Amino acid sequence: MKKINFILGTTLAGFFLISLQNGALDAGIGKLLTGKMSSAESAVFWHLRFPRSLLAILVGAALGLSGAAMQGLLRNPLAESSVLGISSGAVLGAMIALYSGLTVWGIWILPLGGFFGALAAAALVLVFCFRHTSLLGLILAGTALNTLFFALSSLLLSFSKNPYAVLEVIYWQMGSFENRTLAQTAVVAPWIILGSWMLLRTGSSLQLLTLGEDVARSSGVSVSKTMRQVIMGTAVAVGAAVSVCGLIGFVGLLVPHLVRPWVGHDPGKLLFPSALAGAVFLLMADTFCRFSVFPVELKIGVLTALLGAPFFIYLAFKTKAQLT
Amino acid sequence: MRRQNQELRTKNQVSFLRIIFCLGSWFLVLGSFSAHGAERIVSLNACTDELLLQLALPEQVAGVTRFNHSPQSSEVLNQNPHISKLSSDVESIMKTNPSVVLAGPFSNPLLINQLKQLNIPIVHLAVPGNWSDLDKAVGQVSALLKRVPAGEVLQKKIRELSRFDGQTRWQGKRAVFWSAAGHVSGKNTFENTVLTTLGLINVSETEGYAFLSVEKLIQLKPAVIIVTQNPELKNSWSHETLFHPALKKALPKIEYLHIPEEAVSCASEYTVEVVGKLIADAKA
Repeated sequence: MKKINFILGTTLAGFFLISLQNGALDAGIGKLLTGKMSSAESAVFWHLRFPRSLLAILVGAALGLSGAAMQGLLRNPLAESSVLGISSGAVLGAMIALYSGLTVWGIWILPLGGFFGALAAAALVLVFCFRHTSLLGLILAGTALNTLFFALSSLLLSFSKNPYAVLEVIYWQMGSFENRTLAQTAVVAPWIILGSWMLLRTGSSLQLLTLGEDVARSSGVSVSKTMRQVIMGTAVAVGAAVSVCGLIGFVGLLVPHLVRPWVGHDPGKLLFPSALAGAVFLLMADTFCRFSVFPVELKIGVLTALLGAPFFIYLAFKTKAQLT
Repeated sequence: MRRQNQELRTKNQVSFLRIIFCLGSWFLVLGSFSAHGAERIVSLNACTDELLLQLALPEQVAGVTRFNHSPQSSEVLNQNPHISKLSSDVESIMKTNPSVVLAGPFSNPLLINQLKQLNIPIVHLAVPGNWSDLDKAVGQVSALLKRVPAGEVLQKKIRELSRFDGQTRWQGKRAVFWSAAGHVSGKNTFENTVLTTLGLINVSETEGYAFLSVEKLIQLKPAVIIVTQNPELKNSWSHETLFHPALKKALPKIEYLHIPEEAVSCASEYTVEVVGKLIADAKA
């Protein structure tokens, strides 16, 4: 357990340095340490690369952690914020904030919109889970929620008199860390940290929940409280992440599955390594997007969807006995 | 061999007749408009909206799109509530009883086909890439409306701008047209023409439109950034890119020029007015 955390922590530090080193200008760590950076290079380093890398770590950790927590809570290997419609809910919430004109009050309105959208979606998922416990039912509910939120977002767009608003949303839905500022990072970081803290606190309860709800209750675990913590934590962390970086799907699905062979099937033990692995995964993916050979920078949400969707199909086939 | 030659000759003759027929029909359509002036025009494109609203008599306009309009066009629309703001369905267009429809290159091809099947004449206008294209488009629309003198007034202003020698305080400076999410305008765009008219050198070497990261922009070291901002999308992440703190820190002497988005998204009378004002300010 400690070994995997150490390996992931070291890898994360390594990729953080690579990420800071990589860009159009020669403004890397070497120049920073030797004090040979010009003011322009220093601005690029501190105001572009640093917030970008930091944001990739925070968002990756939030998505990985929320995926692990949801899979543990729902005892469902396919549970993840984007599959269950929570990310789409965050997009809708942020869009409402954007088009209602509320965002002129300040940059914190957008993450707040994302949070409320994610919360509403998570609450709907929760209601469904109480009534239907089959894996297939949950996935179908997630698909229906995704479709519903997409339709509502499209409805908002179709009312827009501004063609640029449509472009804005399209780019945003692709997901990206490009050109994000320190101020944007500072606005969402507390929310992501708060949400992640709420999720990490559920470790022991999730561990006992694997033995069944009755055993967990007899051990003093409040199932409803754990459920609320996971849903709220996911809504806060994912809502904030989506509001500043757009839709980055499948990270919460992929990462816990990649970590599970190393830590076993205890959801409590999976949380922290999933956060670390999520951060490593998104940092690696973002670095690849910047290195990629395409004429324009690849959007990270597109890359994670390209990787995650086939994995989702693979998992769905693997668990087909449970699905039917 | 002789038979093959004969077949080829017949084919050529058929093609020639087809061309003559098409050209004849086109001239007949144009001729009928120029003789009477189109009565009820519908525009299916935000850019053709602009030209139509600025050149036509209000009673000649049956409908326009519901997208952004320049201040002048918005005023025309406010004063003439009979002008419909259309969505892209055939029925709402047919309800306006159009005598001709103006379409742009990105107009919905299915819709255009349906309108053609209903015998509605369609006039396609290309997106102006420079002053000369805009001059031509104004000529086309004013001829269609039988409002040539109104078109000539605008054409005169356009020709003055196209002849301007670029002697402004920005002459020879490196510049970029910078829009939301890092969208830049390269060669063969109207924005590039605006930069050249103002005496500026476009640092974006791409063909057409492209995306540029803030870091790449800093590497290109522009002295002037022309920003097109949309007030409705204030505080959205893509608009925050326009004034990214790294830009000001890395290039502290950079000069920002603000141009309303509607002035360049569609070349029109408003563009002419905005560029003319910029030149006047720069000379002053």
